[in-house]
Amino acid sequence: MAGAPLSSRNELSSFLAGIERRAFKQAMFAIRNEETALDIVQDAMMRLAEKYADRPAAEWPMLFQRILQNAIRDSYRRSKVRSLWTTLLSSLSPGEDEDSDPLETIAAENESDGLATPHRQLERSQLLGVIEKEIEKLPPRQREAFLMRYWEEMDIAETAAAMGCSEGSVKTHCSRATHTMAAALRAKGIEL
Amino acid sequence: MNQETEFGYKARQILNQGLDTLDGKVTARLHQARQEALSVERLTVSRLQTAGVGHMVELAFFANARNLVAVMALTVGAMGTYYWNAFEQTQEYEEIDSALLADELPPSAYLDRGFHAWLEHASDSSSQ
Repeated sequence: MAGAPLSSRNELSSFLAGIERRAFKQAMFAIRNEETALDIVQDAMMRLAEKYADRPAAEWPMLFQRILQNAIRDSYRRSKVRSLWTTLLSSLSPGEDEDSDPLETIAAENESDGLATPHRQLERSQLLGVIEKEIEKLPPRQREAFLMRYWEEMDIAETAAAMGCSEGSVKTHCSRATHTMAAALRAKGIEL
Repeated sequence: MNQETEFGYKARQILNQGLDTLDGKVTARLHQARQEALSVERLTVSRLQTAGVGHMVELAFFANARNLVAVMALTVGAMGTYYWNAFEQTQEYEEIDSALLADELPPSAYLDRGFHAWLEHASDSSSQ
């Protein structure tokens, strides 16, 4: 009996290690606040460990996504209520500007790829920045479906279970997200 | 591979590159969050294990409950019989003692050897 929990603990540890960065980015796309995104990921990890650690490991991706998306939605609602009181102040601060060119805001911090030329590195980081911006702009449900299907590599049934909707809705959300993003990239002269 | 899937696949490759450039502060915080989550899971597991011990004790007890009740009933019955017998014997001695004391013959007569001899002789002759 003692062996099972230990192996499941190791499994859970590797699962969380594998998804934590993507989960953070997902929260960032939706919330756009680093501290809040980190809190959301931590909360989602705790809930999964506390409530679903004994469930089969194959169910963890779907369960984690459901917890994460609910936490993102809750946080988004709370921030909307807060923003009612701080609209004026936030509009004066130099925050996210929808009209700004994403290519100008990309930090040149991608130094990890030693084999690539600086020009190629810049191109990649620019492309990453553009795609991240376009993902941020997607409607929440389309963004959830797109990220779960293509980034988390979940199948349609799992994505539907995590989102609490039909498989047909998942397909529709994914299709719309892909077309919107592809069109936005084409408008910037980018073809994937 | 249709166009949508191909687009998704390419977008994933680019998004994954972004994961390697996350700030050190963020990755440290994520690591800490993971450790905290795992410690919560450890607590839950140990609580479950304790509950498991209780469950085992419960199972062991209830599986033999019928036998235990039978043994306890037998013990109580044997003890009851022993005490009841002791009580009856005491009552019998009490009756003999009170009969002796209330009789016309004084108790000292029973210590007299001649009286014993006479009693034996009298009972022998009466039986013949």
